[in-house]
Amino acid sequence: MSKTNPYTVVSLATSSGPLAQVWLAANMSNLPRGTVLQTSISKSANEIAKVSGCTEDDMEGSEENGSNNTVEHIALRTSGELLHGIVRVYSKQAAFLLSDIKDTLIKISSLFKSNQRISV
Amino acid sequence: MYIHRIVIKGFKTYRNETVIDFFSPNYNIVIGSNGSGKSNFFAAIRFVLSDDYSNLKREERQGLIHQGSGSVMSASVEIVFRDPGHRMILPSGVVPRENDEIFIRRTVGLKKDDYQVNDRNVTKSDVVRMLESAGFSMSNPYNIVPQGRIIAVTNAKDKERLQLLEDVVGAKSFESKLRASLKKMDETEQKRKKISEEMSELNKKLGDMEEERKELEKFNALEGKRKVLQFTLYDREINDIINQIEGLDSEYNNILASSEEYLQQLNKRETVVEEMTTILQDIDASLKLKGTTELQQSKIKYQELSNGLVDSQVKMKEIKSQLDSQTEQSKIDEKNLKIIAEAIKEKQSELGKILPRYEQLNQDEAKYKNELFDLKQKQKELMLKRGSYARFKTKEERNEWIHSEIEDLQEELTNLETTKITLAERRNEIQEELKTYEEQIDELLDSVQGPGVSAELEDLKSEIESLKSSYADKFDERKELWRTEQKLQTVLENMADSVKRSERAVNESMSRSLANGIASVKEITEKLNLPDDAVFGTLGELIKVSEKYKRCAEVIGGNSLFNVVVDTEETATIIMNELYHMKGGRVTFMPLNRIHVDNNITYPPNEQASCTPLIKKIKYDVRYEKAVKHIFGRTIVVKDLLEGSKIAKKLKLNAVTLDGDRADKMGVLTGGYHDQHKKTRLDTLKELKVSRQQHIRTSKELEDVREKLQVLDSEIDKLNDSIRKATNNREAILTNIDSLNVKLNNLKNEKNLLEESSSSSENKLERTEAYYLTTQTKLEAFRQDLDLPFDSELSPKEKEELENITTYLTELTENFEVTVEALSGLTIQIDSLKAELNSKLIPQENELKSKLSKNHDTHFNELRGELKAIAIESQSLEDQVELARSELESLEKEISKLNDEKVNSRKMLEKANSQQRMILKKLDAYQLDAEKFMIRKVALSNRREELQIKMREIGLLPEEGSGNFENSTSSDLFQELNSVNEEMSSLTNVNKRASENFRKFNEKKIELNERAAELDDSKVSIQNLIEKLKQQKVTAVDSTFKKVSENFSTVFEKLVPRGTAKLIIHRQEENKTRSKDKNSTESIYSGISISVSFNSKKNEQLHVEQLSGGQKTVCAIALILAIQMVDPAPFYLFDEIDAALDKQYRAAVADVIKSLSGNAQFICTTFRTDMLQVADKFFRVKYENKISTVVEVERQEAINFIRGNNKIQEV
Ligand SMILES: Nc1ncnc2c1ncn2[C@@H]1O[C@H](COP(=O)(O)OP(=O)(O)OP(=O)(O)O)[C@@H](O)[C@H]1O
Ligand SMILES: [Mg+2]
Repeated sequence: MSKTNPYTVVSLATSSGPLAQVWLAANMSNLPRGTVLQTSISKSANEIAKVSGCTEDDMEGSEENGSNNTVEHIALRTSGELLHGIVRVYSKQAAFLLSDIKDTLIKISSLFKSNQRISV
Repeated sequence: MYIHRIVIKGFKTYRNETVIDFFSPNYNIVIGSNGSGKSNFFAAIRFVLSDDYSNLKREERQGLIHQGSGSVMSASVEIVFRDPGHRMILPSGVVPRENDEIFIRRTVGLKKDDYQVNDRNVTKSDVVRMLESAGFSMSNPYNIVPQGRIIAVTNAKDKERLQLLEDVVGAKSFESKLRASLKKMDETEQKRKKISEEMSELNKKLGDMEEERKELEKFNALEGKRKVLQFTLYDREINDIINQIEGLDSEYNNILASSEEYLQQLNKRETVVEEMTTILQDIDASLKLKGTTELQQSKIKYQELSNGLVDSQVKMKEIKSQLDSQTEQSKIDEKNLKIIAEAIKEKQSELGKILPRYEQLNQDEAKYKNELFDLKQKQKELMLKRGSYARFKTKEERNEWIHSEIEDLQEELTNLETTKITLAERRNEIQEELKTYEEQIDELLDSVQGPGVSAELEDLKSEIESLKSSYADKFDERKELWRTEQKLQTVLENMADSVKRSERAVNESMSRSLANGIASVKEITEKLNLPDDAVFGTLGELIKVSEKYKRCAEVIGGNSLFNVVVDTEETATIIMNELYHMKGGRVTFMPLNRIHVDNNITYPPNEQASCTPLIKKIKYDVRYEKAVKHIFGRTIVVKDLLEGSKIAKKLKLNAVTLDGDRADKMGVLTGGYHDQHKKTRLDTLKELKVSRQQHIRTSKELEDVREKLQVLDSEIDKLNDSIRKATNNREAILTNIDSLNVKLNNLKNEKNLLEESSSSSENKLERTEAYYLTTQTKLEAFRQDLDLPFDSELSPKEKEELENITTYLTELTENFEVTVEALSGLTIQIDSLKAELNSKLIPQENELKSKLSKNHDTHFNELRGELKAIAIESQSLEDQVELARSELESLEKEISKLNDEKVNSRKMLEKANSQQRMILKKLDAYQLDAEKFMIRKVALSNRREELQIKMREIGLLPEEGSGNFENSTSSDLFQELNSVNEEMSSLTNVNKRASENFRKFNEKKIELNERAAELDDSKVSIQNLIEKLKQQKVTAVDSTFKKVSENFSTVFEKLVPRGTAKLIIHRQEENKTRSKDKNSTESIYSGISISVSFNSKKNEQLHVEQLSGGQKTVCAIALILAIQMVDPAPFYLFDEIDAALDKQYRAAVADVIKSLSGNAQFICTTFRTDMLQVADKFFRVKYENKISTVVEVERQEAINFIRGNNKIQEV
């Protein structure tokens, strides 16, 4: 009989495992820029899929073998949280990218405006 | 994780703080009578741990707070968890407690509703999240099952049961998160759109920049060429300028050399001017002294002396004339005296001639008289006889008469006798008196003219004279002193002037506040009467530096030269306080007891003759050593500053050159032009000191003189006094003598009178004797007559006799008459002679004699003496006048000489000044020239620097073409430069940083592009994940349902061994398409139903609705426990879940719970003993005075209580 391991959440949050940042992102109101930019969404997504127990092979395996011999999966509630976290990170990344592009554009236009042209 | 302790306060029946401690982590039972507060206890837990008490209204809050006696304003419940597995994640900021305990408290009042974790305020959502992290959902209604609520599980609709299942799976929260995530994804999509827009803009901008970059490259090539051109041109100009500057420098040096000469001359003139000024000042001072005081004094002296001389001369003349007249008079007197003496002699001789005859005549006359008398007597007698006796008739008669006559005569004789005796006595008396007079006169004469008096007078006179002479001496002395006093006064004024001048000079060399301060310090020292060895003065005053090192000391000392040296810091503090009070400026103090001198100073060794420690060149009192060392100790005097600074730096000393340029130990150099013409501070300080000392000395002298004057004044007064006394004395004696003289004269007169009366009394005596004799003879005659016979006729004899007598008488009378006549003639003659002699000549003679003798003796002598004295005096006065005149003349000469000198000096000064002006003018001209040179030089060097900067700015030359222009002329180069410039000006708007910018932003662009691409990937992977999770959710529900349903059947069979039960899940067929369209999060199931059978395993499957209350309860318990097995919460609270069960089920439920309590904590209430049999801990709620309390009890006690209660119920 498979039992969801209630401690997974704790290990997720406390360890510096691959999903620590995402878990934090799910719970924190303010995400630091460095954390956001360092996070690789696709890797994290894969990881989430893995711990949630829905990777291809896992799905295949779990059907027949039961989940006893595989990694204990996190509860659906936690998966939701992680999903939310990763989406937040993704959105934040987009926002940062947008503002970075804007910044760059502003810098360029200020360069054009500024009197750094010489007239001989 | 389990509940360890509950603390309730003010909540419902729990009015007082109630602590229920030491819950078992496994199976706990709470018992108590109806209404005692068991459900309230559960309510308290739910109050904290479930959603049932959220969003409370006011009345609801009121209902939670204890109602009853004693007002309770708030209710609070605290639940303490033990969490050894660390399942709970504390909200951020909450501090963990020891023993793995976690305190969750909720407090509710009428106005407040707070949550606290470990005594820290948190939000409810914090609590929710924390509990959720431990696997406890506050929204799950089956963890805490209130009284009577258990049936609700079985009475619930299929759909509700499905929700329960989904809740267990976490689908609900997953769905909400999924929804939130999808929404976020949509938002992000918007952003991504914008990102791609901005990206294309960025790409365009970068294209522009690329364009610019190309332009720049072209421009750079042109600039390179221009740089080479410019550089070459600048290089040529610089070389030119350097040549010019060299020329200027040599010219400037020439000027400098000649101006140096003039400067030296100027210095010379300066010293001349200074000398002249001091000379002039001296001359002025002495002129002032001589011209005013001394000249005046000597004039006055001269005037006084000549006045005195004139006076004495006049006096002398007077005395001389007096003397002359006196001698004249005395000559006349003498002549007169001679005449008078001769006349006297003549008269006396005449008188002498006359006198014998007169005597003779007198005798004759007396003889004649006597004879005449006798004869007449006889005649008379005879006549009488004839006549007198004629009357008698008888003899008897006649005798009788004669007898009586005799008797009368005898009586007369005795009378005469007595008279004679008295006269003799009188005469003797007079004689006696005369003797006494004579004695008195002698005495008086003695006291008037005696040697005692004259000696005394002589003494007094000499005393007076000596006193007078000493008085004159003293007076002269005083005059002399007055003069010196006046002189000193003038000198003192001059001194004060020079002190002030020096002070001004000192003050000019320092700041105002410092000058004030130093002045105030002096004032304060005087005012507070501070001793001399407390405040010593400024440092500069206390040291002496030789001329050569003066500048060094000056530079090193600086303002420290004005530091005031005092003995202790107390003195300094006193003075500073006083300064502060009177706002008297600022001064730096050097308390000798506080100054620390570093003795570890090493001077360079002696053989290095190029430097000497400055302190060795300073002279000072040992007392001030610390202060002096403190300021000058670390300084060496060096010849060469560079050399010196090296030594100085090495030994950590300061170095100073003789010119005052200095280097300190840090290596900083200070120097430059010092104002050569100004006096140094040290000089001014020294001058001030000297003039102050002189001032003090002079004022002391003046004081001495004044003291002397005072002494002299009193002495003179004393002398005056004694002179007055002596003269008074003398005067008294003289008046005494005068009065004595008067007395003497009186006595003499009286004596004369007496002598006269003596001679008269002698005469009287003589006459009386004569009369006595005649009377005797008469008496004799009468006696003879008696014997005569009585006859009336004269006898013949008698007749004859009578005739004889008569003839003789006539003859005699004739003689007598002649004699008398002659005598009377002589008497007249004698009388006239005597009268002339006695009343005229002799007094005259006497007068003259006395006059002469007097003149000769005293007055004359006196006058002569006086004359002599005056002559001497006037002689000396003359001498003195002569002296004074010569003095005056010499003084005037001196003054005129000084004036001449002054004029000379002034001329010289003016000359020097004008020369100086000339030199200055020349110097100014030089200066102007030099300035011009300097300006030109500065302009040139500025230009040079400019060019150098420009060249530097040009920087590195492009390698190709740097040597290309060496052979072309400058104008060619200019032309080329112009063309290059023109070409460049066509490229006006070249962005110099184009390539750099391009590089930078290109990099950025690449990075941003990469990130955008990554974002694409991310999106895909998230979408994948969502899909997977959705799938996962379905599988999870499925698998959970499978597990729960399996468990349900198992548990049910445990409870009802004969029966069977299963859960049936219903699919949502008709909604399938719709939900797919919506990409719905909704479940594909519609509900879960229960199908049970209580007595048969095969048939008679019943729906829940058909069951009894107890059966429903069994189903509900089975379901809850089944879910518990799949998704275990940490603890469960069941309020009388076994109330509706019969004995058989109760025991089964108790057993199942018991078996589950190994994994989770259970807290149940019950009225039956079944659970008590298997539970671990027991708590009893007591209800007293409407207040509940909870105590832990033993199992047996609990069983007894329940049994007792039941019995009562049964009864
Ligand atoms: N706010 C309140 N202040 C004071 N008393 C209260 C308050 N609310 C309820 N009560 C009292 O609490 C009692 C009910 O207690 P409770 O329901 O816990 O009893 P019980 O032990 O569960 O009884 P039973 O065995 O019948 O279920 C009542 O007597 C009620 O008057
Ligand atoms: Mg109750």
